[in-house]
Amino acid sequence: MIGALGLALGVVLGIFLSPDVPFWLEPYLPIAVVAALDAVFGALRAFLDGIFDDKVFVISFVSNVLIAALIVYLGDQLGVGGQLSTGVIVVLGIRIFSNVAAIRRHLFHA
Amino acid sequence: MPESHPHRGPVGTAPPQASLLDYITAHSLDEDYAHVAQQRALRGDSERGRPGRGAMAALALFGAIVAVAGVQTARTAGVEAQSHDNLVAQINSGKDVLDSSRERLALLESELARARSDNLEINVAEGREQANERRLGTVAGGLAVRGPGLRVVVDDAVGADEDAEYVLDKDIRNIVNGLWASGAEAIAVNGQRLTPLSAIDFAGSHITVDYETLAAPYTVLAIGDPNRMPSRFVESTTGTAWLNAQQTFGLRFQMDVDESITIPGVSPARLALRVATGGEVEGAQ
Repeated sequence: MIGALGLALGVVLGIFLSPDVPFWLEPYLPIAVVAALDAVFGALRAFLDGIFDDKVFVISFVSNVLIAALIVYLGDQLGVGGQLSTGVIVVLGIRIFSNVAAIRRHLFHA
Repeated sequence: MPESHPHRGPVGTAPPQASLLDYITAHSLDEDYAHVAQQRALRGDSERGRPGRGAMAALALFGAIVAVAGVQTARTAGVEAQSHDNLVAQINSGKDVLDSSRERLALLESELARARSDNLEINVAEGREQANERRLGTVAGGLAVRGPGLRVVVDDAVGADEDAEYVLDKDIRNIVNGLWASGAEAIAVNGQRLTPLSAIDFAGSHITVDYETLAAPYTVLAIGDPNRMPSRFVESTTGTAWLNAQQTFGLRFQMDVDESITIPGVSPARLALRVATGGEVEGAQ
C-alpha cells in the first residue's frame, strides 16, 4: 500500500543520504519525531475509522511538527526549553497511546 | 470548544468538568478528520478517503526524519562515548599525577624532617663550638672577662735607693705566678692582659709587660675564687718568695678582694698563629 511504500522510501532516503543535521536543529529532532508520530498514528486511526483524508493528514503532520518545534524554540529562548519539551512530549505521548489503543480495538475487535 | 461535532472519537463525550488528561484522551484524534468526513457525507460523496500522494510524501518525510534522528543519535553516541573515554583517560592520568605528586610530597617531607634534625644537630654543635671558643678566648686572653677576684697593689719601698727596694720584674713574675698557682683564671698588670704569649721583662729601669713600659704602683688584677685565692697565694712557692722579699725590703703590698673585676682582652692580632698549626697533630699526646 501507498503509505507503507512512502515510509520505506523515506527511511531508505534518510539512511543513505544521512545528511549532517546542523547543530542548531539538533534539539528539535526528537520532538519533531514525536509530533510526526502523533500525526501518523492519528492518520492510521482515522483510516481505520473510515474518515481518513489526505489533505487533513498532510496539514496535521506539518502543523504538528512545526508547532512542536516552535514551542521548544520558544522555551529555549525563554530558558525553559526542557520543561516545555517535557510538556509537549507528555501531551503527544498521551494522544499517541490513546490513538494506538483505538487502532488496537479496530484491528483485534477487542 | 467544538462540542457540536458528532464524531468525537470512540471514547465518547467527555464530562463537562473533565480533567485535562481526560480532555486530551478524548480529543486524541484530530477533529478535522471527523469534520471533513461530515462535510463529505453532506455533499453525498460516499467515497472513502484513500491515502494519496500527499500522505505518501508526509510518510516519506516522517521516515526520513526518524532515520536521520536515529543516525544522528548513533553518531552522537559514538562521539559521546569517545569524549567519555577521553575524560576517563584524563581522570586516570590526573590520578597518576596526583599519586606521584603525593609520593614526591612524602619524600620531600621526610627530607625536610631529616634536614631539620641535621640543622638542629648543627645548631647544637655550633652552640658547643661557640661556648668552647668563648672558653678558649677567655683562657687565652682574647676576650674581656669579668668576675670576682683579687686586686693586688705593689709599690717600691718608701725612700728606696737600693735595687732590691724597688719592685722588679722578678717580683711581678712571682706575684703573677703565685696568683696563677692560687687558681686565677685571668690576670692583668696595670691593665695589660696576660696571655700565653705574654712576657714580663725589665728594660732599662722599668718593668715591661708585652713590651709595654709600666710605672709604679703596679696593680695586678686577678679573677678567681676570692675566698680561696689569698690563702693559696700564701702557700704557693712563688707567693712565699714574693712575701719574703716584700717583708725583707719593705716593699709596699696590698691585697683586696674585689667582687667585680673587669679585665680587657688583647687584640686578636696579638694571639694570631702564623707558623704553628693547632688541632690534631700526629704523634702529639
